[in-house]
Amino acid sequence: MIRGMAGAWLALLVAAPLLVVLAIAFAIPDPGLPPFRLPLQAGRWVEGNESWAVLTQDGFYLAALLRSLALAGATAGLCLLLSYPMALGILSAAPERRVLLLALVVLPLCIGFVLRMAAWVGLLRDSGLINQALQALGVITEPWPMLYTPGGLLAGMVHSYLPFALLPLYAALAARDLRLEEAAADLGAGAFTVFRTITLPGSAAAGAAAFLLVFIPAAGEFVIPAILGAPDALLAGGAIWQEFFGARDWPLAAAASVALLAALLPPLVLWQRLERRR
Amino acid sequence: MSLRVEGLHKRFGAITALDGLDLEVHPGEFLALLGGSGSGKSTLLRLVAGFETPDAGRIRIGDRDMAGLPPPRRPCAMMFQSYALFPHMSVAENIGYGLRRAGLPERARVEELLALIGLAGYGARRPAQLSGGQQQRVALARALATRPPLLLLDEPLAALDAGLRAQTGAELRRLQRETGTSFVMVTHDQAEALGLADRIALLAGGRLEQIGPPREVYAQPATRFVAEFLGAANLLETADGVFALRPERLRLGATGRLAARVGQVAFRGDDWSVACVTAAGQLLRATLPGDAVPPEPDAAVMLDWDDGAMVRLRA
Repeated sequence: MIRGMAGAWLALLVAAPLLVVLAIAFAIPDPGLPPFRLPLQAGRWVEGNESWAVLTQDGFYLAALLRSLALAGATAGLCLLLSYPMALGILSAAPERRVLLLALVVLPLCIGFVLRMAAWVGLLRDSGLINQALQALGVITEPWPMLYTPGGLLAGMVHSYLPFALLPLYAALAARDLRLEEAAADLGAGAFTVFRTITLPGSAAAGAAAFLLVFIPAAGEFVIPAILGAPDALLAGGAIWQEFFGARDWPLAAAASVALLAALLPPLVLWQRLERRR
Repeated sequence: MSLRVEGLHKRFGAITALDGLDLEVHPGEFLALLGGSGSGKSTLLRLVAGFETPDAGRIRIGDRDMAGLPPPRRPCAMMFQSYALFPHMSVAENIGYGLRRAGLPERARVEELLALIGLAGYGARRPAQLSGGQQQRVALARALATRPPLLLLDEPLAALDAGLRAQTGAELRRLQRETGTSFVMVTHDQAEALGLADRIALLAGGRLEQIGPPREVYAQPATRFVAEFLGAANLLETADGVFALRPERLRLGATGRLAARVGQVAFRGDDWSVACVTAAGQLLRATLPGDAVPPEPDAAVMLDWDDGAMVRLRA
């Protein structure tokens, strides 16, 4: 019953849209509505699709894809790096205070996404709060450019995605066997060695899950880069958006979507393999 | 190495775990800490290992005060009740963990320990691939690897089934003798404590009730708690005070000191347990050898015992 429902769910909401996108990726652009036609005429295949050739030969799209993967990797890596000390810190608090601390982590999600990004603009821009504060303190004389730089973009990305890494990691660390860490300390391991040899390997699966939970959506992110990122450093999500709604080249946009999906599959498969081996 | 504990106090919220405990363990001694749950025996181990900080009192190992020393810097090792083997490491890596931390040569010592616990050739396995008894031995080898002078054992036999327990207990005793390590073993099993330890410390309510060699604490219980906890003694309340009388010291016959009527008679394999009710209505249990002919229920008997069998208890 449950399996059947899951199957129907996957077929209807995952497989079907994917097939539609795949079909459009092989279609021919057309000025009509919808802005493409299938490459079939009187039941015969018609040449005319150039999406894949453009995608592979024009370095613009490949560069956007690589930039996206790099940004997603940096975002997920930083989220993971911040999540470990945060999760362990929350867990070291008294049990009745943990709920409050977790709520503070999730609280930003309750504020509208656009509002949060607007706040980052207010913080990062040349006349923003950070630059004003640094100038008032005399640390800098000229405004330090942060908005529309990779660093500013990364800050906004990490801020948005942190809860998705922190929560699964927190759950795994909360369920860990503290006796193992006591045993390691008893055998002569200092605090960092206990973390490196016991806590970290023991939570590796949860860490990988946390990384992927951030990496996958971050690779297709286009709103945050559009607000905080440099306009000339286009990312995969932005490129797809532009082709769909700007250039109205649906076949090219669909092909780019499929390529992005293909780039995200290997890490997922790898993770599944590792999970099964445990 | 010796362990000396003085005036140890520990509270967890409203619960007092240790209430001014004094205790001394001699070098090379096997001491059993015996008590019910909540007696403070496990708390004492955790305080000695450094996992908890005492509210008051001192802990000395050898001639060093342990105050302020974190667990990795204490000379004792602990064997956990659940073994706490590292699941992501092999058996050999588990045993060698302490050696690696201390920067000591690992391979030869690990092989030696694997042979010592009868698991030579099992080094590459994961703990999950071992039986409970094998895991118990790996935990012991891991704790002994760096030759700590003091080993703390938290219910080391509790997770084993009854058949393995006696054999593993004897193994523990042999290892303790061979290595000359001081052992402090927490247990709630009186037979385990009586059979393995050089001395038994009985704890109740976070205090020491009595400490001494097994025969002494059994034959000469100091308090009501000790008399009842070890061997379920009969308690006789007289005008002179409270006395303990061991069931096996009671004789049933035609002549004796006290008249009684036989109640329930139960055969227990190696002995008989005979419940006798005195004229005053007090229940006294007697044990008779398994090959003895038990009295009929409801028969009138006389109870007798040797002069030294009645032990006066501290109020």
